[in-house]
Amino acid sequence: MNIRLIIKLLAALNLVLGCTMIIPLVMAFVLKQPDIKAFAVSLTITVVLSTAAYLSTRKVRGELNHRHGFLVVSLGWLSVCFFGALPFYFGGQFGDFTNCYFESVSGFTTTGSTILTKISTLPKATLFWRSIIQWYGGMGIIVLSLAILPLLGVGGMQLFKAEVPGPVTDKIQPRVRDTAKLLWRVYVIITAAQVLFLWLGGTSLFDSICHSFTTMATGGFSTKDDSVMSSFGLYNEMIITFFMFLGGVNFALHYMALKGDIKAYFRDGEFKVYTGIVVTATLLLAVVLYLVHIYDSPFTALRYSVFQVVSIMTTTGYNSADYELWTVAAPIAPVLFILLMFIGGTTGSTGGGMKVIRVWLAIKHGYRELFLLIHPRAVRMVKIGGKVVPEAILDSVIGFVVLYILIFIFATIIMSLLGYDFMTSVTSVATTLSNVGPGLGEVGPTDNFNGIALAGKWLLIACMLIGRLEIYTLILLLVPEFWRR
Amino acid sequence: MKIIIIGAGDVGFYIADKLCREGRQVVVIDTDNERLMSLEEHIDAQFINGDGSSPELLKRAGIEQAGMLIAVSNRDEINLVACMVAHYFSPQTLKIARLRNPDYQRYPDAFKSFNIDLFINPEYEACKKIENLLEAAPAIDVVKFADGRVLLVGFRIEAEALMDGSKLYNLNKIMPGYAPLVAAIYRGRNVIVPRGADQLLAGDIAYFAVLADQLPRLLKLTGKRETPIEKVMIAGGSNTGLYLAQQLEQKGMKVKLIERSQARCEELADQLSSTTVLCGESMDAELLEEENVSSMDAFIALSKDEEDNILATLLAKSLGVHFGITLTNRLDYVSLVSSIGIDAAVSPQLAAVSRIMRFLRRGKVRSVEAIRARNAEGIEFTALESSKAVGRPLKEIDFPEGSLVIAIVKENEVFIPSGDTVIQPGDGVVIFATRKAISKVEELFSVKFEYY
Repeated sequence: MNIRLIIKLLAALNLVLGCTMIIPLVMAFVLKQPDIKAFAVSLTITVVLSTAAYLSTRKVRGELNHRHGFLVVSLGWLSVCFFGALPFYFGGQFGDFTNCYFESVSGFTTTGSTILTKISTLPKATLFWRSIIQWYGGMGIIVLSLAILPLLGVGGMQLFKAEVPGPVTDKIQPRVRDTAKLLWRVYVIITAAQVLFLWLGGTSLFDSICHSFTTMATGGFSTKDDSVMSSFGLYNEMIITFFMFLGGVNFALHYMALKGDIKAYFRDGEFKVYTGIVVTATLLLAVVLYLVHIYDSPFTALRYSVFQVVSIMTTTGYNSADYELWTVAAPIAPVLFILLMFIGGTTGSTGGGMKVIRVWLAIKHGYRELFLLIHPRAVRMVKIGGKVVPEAILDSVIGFVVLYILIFIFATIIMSLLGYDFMTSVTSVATTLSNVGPGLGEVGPTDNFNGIALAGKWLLIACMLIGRLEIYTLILLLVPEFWRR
Repeated sequence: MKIIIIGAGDVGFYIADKLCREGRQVVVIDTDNERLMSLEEHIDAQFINGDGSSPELLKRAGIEQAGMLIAVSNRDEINLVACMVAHYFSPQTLKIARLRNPDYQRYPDAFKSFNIDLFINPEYEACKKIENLLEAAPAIDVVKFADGRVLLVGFRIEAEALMDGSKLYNLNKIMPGYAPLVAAIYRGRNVIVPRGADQLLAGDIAYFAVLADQLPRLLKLTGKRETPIEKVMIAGGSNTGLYLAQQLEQKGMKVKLIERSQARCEELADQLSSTTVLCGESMDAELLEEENVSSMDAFIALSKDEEDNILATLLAKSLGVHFGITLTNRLDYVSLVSSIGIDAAVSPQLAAVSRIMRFLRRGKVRSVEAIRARNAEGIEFTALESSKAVGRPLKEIDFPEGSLVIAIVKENEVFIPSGDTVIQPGDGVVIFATRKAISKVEELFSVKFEYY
């Protein structure tokens, strides 16, 4: 393996991250925040280390082969999360390094689980950094690097595929670099729109930016202690709901829509199913919440139901109400939430989970098996949007779903061995693996992950990374065959 | 500006790869999804699975903004229709189509309405390459520059030959008064752009830069027979074989053509005049001996099956033919066959690629030729005043490793340069460069070697 080439690419990736630390540094300086030292130290370490690594390998040329690609993506994420954790570590409010790494991974993977007990008292620059890393991880650190660094030309497609979610990744431009640029441009435009709308709704500019960053990334870090529960109001809640919904949609569709082809959404089969699930789940939950008298007006029931359904389905993880209180009177709520967590966003979105299309394909595949039992000689293709899905993709989807569930079961068993109750074990793993954020039980919407044991934290860190990189990339490194020549 | 390539075969792949490396936006369309998926790992292009002649698909590929359409799928009809549809959407797009059927070539007017800018027939291009090779035989490769006035000629250095083991600066001692310029030495899998102290070894393939009229002297130096090729045996009566036989007939050569099928033989005999058409297997040693293969000047295997071609050529060589050429569709074989004793391999794909590249060249680049498959190129371009390499004697210029100026082309004079030669602005420069050296050569001459 061409180790030096990999080091060069990793150095470039982290150099980009180091440079983004300038923003919170300047902010801390201007606002005279106490975390200025944390950022100065982190920035220096990151930039010096990555520059040194880059300079010592700058002459290395070569092309990435398959295995290099997986290694670059995996190590890229591990290292970026490491350097991203430094400001937390030197800031001192997060505790030991495990906590800082947990928070950083939770940010980059757009999970949104936090180990903080008190959020709003943090210095502003640190709060902002939490939002930035989520925004950064939403569209993807590799995709950003592809867009701005010229050194990832050939072989870039594989890196791109490893980071952009979904079983099939289409380019919207012939070159990876142009595709990455366009996706980031779309991402920036929609985020800016949300900032504007929130700001017009009376939210402070700082909160508008922070929440827009974490909404579009479907991340879920908030600057408030109680997420979106008390200080936002109906208008802002609806804006956030709308943009969370957008974040869960394929950005290639947003691109076409921005180019004037609004109908592109409705030609896309996955989008229709995604919308269908959101609408159905929202109505179901609203009706139940109303009928069991948790909310007395149908409108209020709908308001909280739509926010929570969209937040969890898109794997954002904001909460506008303490939905843990619903579980006793409406047991459908937790069941629904866990289901939605697993389904997640769509191909090419910033959402996590298994992705709508995979679940849908798995179901269609299952139905075809039944159909073939009835008509043994029938020839039947699985189609999406009128197009036949190649068998190779179906196989990879089934493989993905099986691995996803196996990892979920395995991690849940470990969590319960560590002594956590059923609800906590199941939801803490589901919420991290699908990059949602809060779970239920001890890690519910008003709790945090600080109380989880050390081993549990590292397990959940692994779950977040595995979920964000869609299982295969990271798991591959654990397969001995990968390292054989 | 986009470039759309229909057909992800060898030709399509090679061209896509080249253009992508130049940073062009390339879209490749093919019906074979698995092939596309495997290409995706190598090329940074967009891949669309489907029929390249479908208007819907071409529109999706962005034909309206495309600067060029290269239709090189393996079906003529698809290529033609694709060009026609492309013309409907975007008349200004440059269109290149591969057409295999020789009938089409014979009636170019019939296809005027398709508005195709360049027709390519790979087999036809391969025949032209073979003709060039026969002209320069016993050279195993010939590449022409400056309208054929400068040649890059490859020879295999045989053990015990005059040049075996001699240092390059000693070459003029072999034949006083004549010191040929060695542009490159292919040794095993390596390409060496030699300096004076480098040695020629048996088994090397050496590329000499010569002016066309100096070729006989070079042939004498190599110690090879220099009698021109007169008697040729062709194995395989496909359209390629027929076309080549016709061309060679016209040059007054004596041709024997072996073809397996009786019916095809009759057709061939009908279309050819002086050629002896033989019905039989090309790997039938008895037939070859009966037809006096050992007295032939060259044996050319042109059947559709490349393994057959290689074996037939080896057989003919073992029976005493001096010069054997084999046709192969697999690029990997081109460099392989020379190591097993076949003199030259010609690939229709590579020939087609060269033709397309020659058509696409632009700006200061006059011509570009791939040399021995993919690892080096000969490039002819116009020197600019702004270049650091202009106005100074060549020996003072720090040329990148792996590159060598092999000829200077002035308006009415061509010559092979020496260390004291000074390149003037406006001169044509022919340079040999390995793949790695190309970007540095571009820098030195401040020329971009772009195709499009």
